[in-house]
Amino acid sequence: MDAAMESKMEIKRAKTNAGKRALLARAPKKVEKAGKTTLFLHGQNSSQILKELLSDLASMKTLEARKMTRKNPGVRPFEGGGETSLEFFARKADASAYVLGTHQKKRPHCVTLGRFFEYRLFDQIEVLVTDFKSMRAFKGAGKGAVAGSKPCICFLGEEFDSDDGLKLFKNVLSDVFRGRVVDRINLKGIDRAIVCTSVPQPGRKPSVMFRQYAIKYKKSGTRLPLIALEEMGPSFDFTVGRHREAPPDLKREAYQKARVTKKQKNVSMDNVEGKVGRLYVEKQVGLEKLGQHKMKGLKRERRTNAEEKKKKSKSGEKE
Amino acid sequence: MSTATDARASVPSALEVTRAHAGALELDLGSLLAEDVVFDVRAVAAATGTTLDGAARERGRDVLQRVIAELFALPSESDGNGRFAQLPEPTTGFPRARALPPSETPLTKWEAFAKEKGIKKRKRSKETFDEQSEEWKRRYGYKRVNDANDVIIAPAKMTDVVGKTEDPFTREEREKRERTQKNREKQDKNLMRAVQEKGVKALPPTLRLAVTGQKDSVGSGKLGKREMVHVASRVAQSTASMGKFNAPVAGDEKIKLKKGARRQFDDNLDTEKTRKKSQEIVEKLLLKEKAGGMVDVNMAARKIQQEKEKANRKNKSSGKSTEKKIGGKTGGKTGGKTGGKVGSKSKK
Repeated sequence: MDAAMESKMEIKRAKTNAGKRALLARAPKKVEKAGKTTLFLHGQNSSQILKELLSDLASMKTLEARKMTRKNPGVRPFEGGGETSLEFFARKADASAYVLGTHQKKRPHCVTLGRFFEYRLFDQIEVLVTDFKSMRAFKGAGKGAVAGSKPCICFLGEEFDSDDGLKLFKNVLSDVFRGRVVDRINLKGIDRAIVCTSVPQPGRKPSVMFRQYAIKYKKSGTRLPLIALEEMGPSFDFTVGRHREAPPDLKREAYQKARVTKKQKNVSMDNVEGKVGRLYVEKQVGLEKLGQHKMKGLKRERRTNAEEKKKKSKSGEKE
Repeated sequence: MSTATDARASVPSALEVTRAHAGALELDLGSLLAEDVVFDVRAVAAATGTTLDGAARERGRDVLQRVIAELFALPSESDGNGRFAQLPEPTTGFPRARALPPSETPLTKWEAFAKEKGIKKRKRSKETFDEQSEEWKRRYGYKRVNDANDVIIAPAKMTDVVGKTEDPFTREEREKRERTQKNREKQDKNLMRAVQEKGVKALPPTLRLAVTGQKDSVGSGKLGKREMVHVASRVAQSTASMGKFNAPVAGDEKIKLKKGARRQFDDNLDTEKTRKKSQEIVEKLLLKEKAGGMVDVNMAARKIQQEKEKANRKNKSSGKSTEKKIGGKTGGKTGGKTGGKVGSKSKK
């Protein structure tokens, strides 16, 4: 920035405390614990299937979902300049991932999953949906599952380790749907699971079965409950379409981790003794009851006499 | 990713009872993720004679049973809401949503100077002894030592002049305001320096860098109300239709479009009309001559009143009261000459 530019710029402060708090809430964090806020939107054209699918997926994200209902003709994230309005929406909604539904002749019922880094498109993958069944079709099978609970996510199949597209899909899907980073979990609260199974297709790209199940605990006669799965939807199959990984330099920046050092308490360095620790010792009680050696000077008679003497000498001085 | 840990003695049998998946799995318990890469749905479905869906579901159940078993084996604590397992740190890497914020704040000018000169921060006690009240008080803040707000009567100096020396209380207020302002400016300078060195990221999240004077053209209070209306009307007229077909905007009805004078021309062929017009003019002139010293009383009275008020205003502003003079002046104007003039004007 040159001097002329500097003179034109000024520092602006948040005017209200509420504004300040809002800005702080949006500020980048050293350790990101919150789940990824996800934008759900449709492109130029959408289909009924996509509308239902997106609303189902949004309900799986509950509070971390930002749903948009109108058509967005300008959103074409795989084309040059087609990401501008998407990035704008991301900034507005403070979103870090998106799910876009587009329906074209060339790519029918296409869902694009993508992520943002600093409100800039990071990586994305297209999946072409077939055989969709919505949550509603399963008639309240997922009633037991609590909205916003953390799902178990399960990937079955060798292709999730070998196919580039599916590898990316695995990472994006788990990132979007895993929710908050927590350090403890209620064992009773593990109530749903997303299971993705790859199906090899000879001569073609593998397809994937996406299913969501409600987990029911049953008695097994041991300490460990026996689980039963009940399909709760949404359920669909897909093949991977176009996908784009993040550029390596951006990736490096995005995968940075803050160095978290725990503050060491009650430890100090001493010149003579080296490392010195301070321990907490509980207050010792019952010492007075111990049989101690009684000295003459500690006797009450002598003590009171001594005090009186002191008092007298003091008053004498004053007079 | 961790594999099955050596759990309690009872768990292995429980694993068998619950038909948990015993094969190799990639687990990330911190994020509740599991991956089974040695599974071929087609092969399993063909072998067991089930559908693809059924085979996948069966395997999914077994894998999830294993995940649950691992979770139950983790150290846990229970409270009123149930048993909570303590999850390990997630092992799968995911990109951040926002860039890592800078770990160290850039040095201020003073800090840089102090570092260069080796000046170290001295620790000062929070409280100091106030000799006036003979007690310990805060150095800064509420109930502080030498708080200017506590002074009820400010001592005067010999050099003070009544009416010329600034009131000590307002002076204190002004100085405080100036100090704050100066400090704010210094803070801004330090921040701008930090931005120059390390980019916008160096700013704390509650601050923004904005272009100055953005608001100055309109709405900063620099334009008067009249000018605003003028600008607004100009803008309203600056369309292809000269403002005729503007879409209605709330508040726009207050803007009056200034219309240019319209010239009107009489018909060249209509002789009757021109004849009438010239006759009118002649009649007017004749009337004037007839009227001679006649006065339109109402008009004259109004004129007199106006003159009176005008003179009154003038006197008020100059601070002199000259009632008599006004009377004389206005009296003169009621005379025949002026009266005649007024009368003639009214008929125009």
